[in-house]
Amino acid sequence: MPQGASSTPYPPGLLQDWFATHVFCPLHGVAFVAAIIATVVAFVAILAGLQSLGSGARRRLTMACTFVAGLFYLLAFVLTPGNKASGTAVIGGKACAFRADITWDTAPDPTPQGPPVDDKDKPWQPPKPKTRTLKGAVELTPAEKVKGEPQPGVDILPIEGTQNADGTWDLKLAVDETPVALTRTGRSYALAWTGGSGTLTFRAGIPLNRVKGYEQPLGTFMIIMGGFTIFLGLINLVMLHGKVLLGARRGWHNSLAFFIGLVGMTVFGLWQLQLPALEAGQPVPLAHAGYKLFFDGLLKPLQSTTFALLGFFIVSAAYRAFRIRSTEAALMTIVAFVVMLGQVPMGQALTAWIPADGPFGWLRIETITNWLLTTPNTAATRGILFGSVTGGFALSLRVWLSLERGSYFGKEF
Amino acid sequence: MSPALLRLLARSRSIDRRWIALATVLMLAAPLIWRIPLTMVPFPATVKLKTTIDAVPENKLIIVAVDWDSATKGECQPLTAAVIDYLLKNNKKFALFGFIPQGPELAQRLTEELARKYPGKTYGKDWVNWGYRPNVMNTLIAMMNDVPGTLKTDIRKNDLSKDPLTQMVPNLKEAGLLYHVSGTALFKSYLQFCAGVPLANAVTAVMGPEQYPYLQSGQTKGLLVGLGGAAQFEAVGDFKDETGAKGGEGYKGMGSQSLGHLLVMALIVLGNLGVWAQRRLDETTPPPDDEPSETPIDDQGEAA
Repeated sequence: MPQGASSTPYPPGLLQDWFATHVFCPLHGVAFVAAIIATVVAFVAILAGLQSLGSGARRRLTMACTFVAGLFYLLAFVLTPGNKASGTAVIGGKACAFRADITWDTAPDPTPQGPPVDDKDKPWQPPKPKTRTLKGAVELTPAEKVKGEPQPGVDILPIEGTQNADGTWDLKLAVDETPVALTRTGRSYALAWTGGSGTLTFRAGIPLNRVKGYEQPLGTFMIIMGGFTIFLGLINLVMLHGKVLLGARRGWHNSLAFFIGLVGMTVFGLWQLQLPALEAGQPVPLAHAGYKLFFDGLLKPLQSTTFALLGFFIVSAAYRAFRIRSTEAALMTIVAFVVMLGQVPMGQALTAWIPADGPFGWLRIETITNWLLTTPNTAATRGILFGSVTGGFALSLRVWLSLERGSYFGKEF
Repeated sequence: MSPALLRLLARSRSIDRRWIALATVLMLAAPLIWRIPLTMVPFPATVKLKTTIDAVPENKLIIVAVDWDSATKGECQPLTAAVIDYLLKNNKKFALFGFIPQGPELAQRLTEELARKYPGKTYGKDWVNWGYRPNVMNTLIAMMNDVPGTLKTDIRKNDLSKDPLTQMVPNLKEAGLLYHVSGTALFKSYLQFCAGVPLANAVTAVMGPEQYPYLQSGQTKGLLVGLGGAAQFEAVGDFKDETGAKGGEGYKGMGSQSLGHLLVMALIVLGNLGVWAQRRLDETTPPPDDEPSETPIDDQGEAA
């Protein structure tokens, strides 16, 4: 694909190009300030409106939003992108099949004239609309059955084309590097070239999926919403630890550690981002030193230490809780011991004397371990996966249709 | 069996946890100080990963997705180091990338350290680090169509549309292989959104059993599990450390892991023997008639 071009099998979202050109375009000066003020006012008005709603109305609103969001993803998944074209061709009296893939492409930027301009100095240009492009081939003979893999240009006629605004296609094809003349009549094309002729009729899929294009912008929206939730969590933590610290209550030093970590990480983290990357031998600025202290000196060792404690708990728990009380438990213990031994060199050494390629090679502990992991374990894991995915699907349906009871759906409607 | 031996065995079910912790420390630390020469036999999944990497053509970029942090560094770092070392040794170009903030940074330091073993290996020529990105689902969907357009810059703020290594992979489907290392369930996102991309993965030992269905179905082209997986890859890749001894970071941990496994097994056996011995003692020794047998008595002689 040429640099700067992008290709997707899905058509642009409904009105997406219009939004990209007329709504989501960069603003400058007064318009920029006015847009920010309008956004804040609208946000406050929406929040105030939501606050004034009764709990029943709020619940109905949540249900409606959940349903619309679920419907969006359902449609994005179900609706066909219409990215296939198929038809028939008659070449030299022989009936042939035609198949093609359809993508939506943006034309690459023309070669820039003069010295390259930095992206930030370029004036904003509205995104170019994407063109529906077809790439496929007519197989001239059933070559695959007769003489193996068909040869492009000999047994296969590659065809490319773009769709016009009126829905018709401009096609290009060549036989032995000779361009073929095409005459369109409705959905059929008459082909003519030196030494031959034929016809081609095909039908392109209908691009019904006009919602998939919004998946990425909505994802960006969700990241921003996620940022707000982190902010809310932060406020909650600051309030909680602030009360403990100011009241000098029990465990106040933990709250102090929280504030030092929060402020230190935020200040040094953002500060060091503003500085250029460090070169070797260069003196380390305070921002980098502070960030290194908090990130490398505190966060990483604390994380490693916390996780390392797990090892001691596992050993202790295995000793205290692993009791062989039934045949099933005994079987599981034997299998666990075999798998544990088969994964480590000291265990593998127990059966290393058995020739791996000999008739008793299957008795080697690593071979038995591998069989246990790839056969009974795979079957059991797949069963669990099927069960959990089916359960997840049922739960998703309940949430989508607001049948779930909980904080957001207090009762059934 | 004599009652004295039974009583001794019965006491083995209540060893103080501090002794167990001490035994764990000693068993894990000793092989790190006195190295035990060991031989690791690779599993077919490990051999398959090496074969898959070997089959990647020179003009294709391998993506190493490093979704791990300090918490799982003990296992994930050797798993990453083994493959990166092999890529550097075999002149394969690769990109580092991750959805966990620490991952790409830790992997960058690791790669810089490993690259010193191979003269001439430099950042930008042999590997590129795309850095951390949030939002798995949307980023992967966007990368399936346009990698440089989605990621924009690398960790050194270089424009990826002009980066020669990134130009080798205009979209994820053009990648020679995507090798994912993690202690999380993020690999499922790659399976879900990266259809058509050749995938391989490495996970922490606790997550290993869950991954085998994807290996059998061919959705992952190779699988490394835990520290043992790293050691197996080092065995199959014929690794040598700085002293010329067999293996690398994974191999170094195999002595500790072997003794750790043996300790766990010994403790399970001991705990169960203790329970069995106590049961035999209870069966053979009749309870005294003058006091209730099951009521515990506290230090002051009062029933609790």
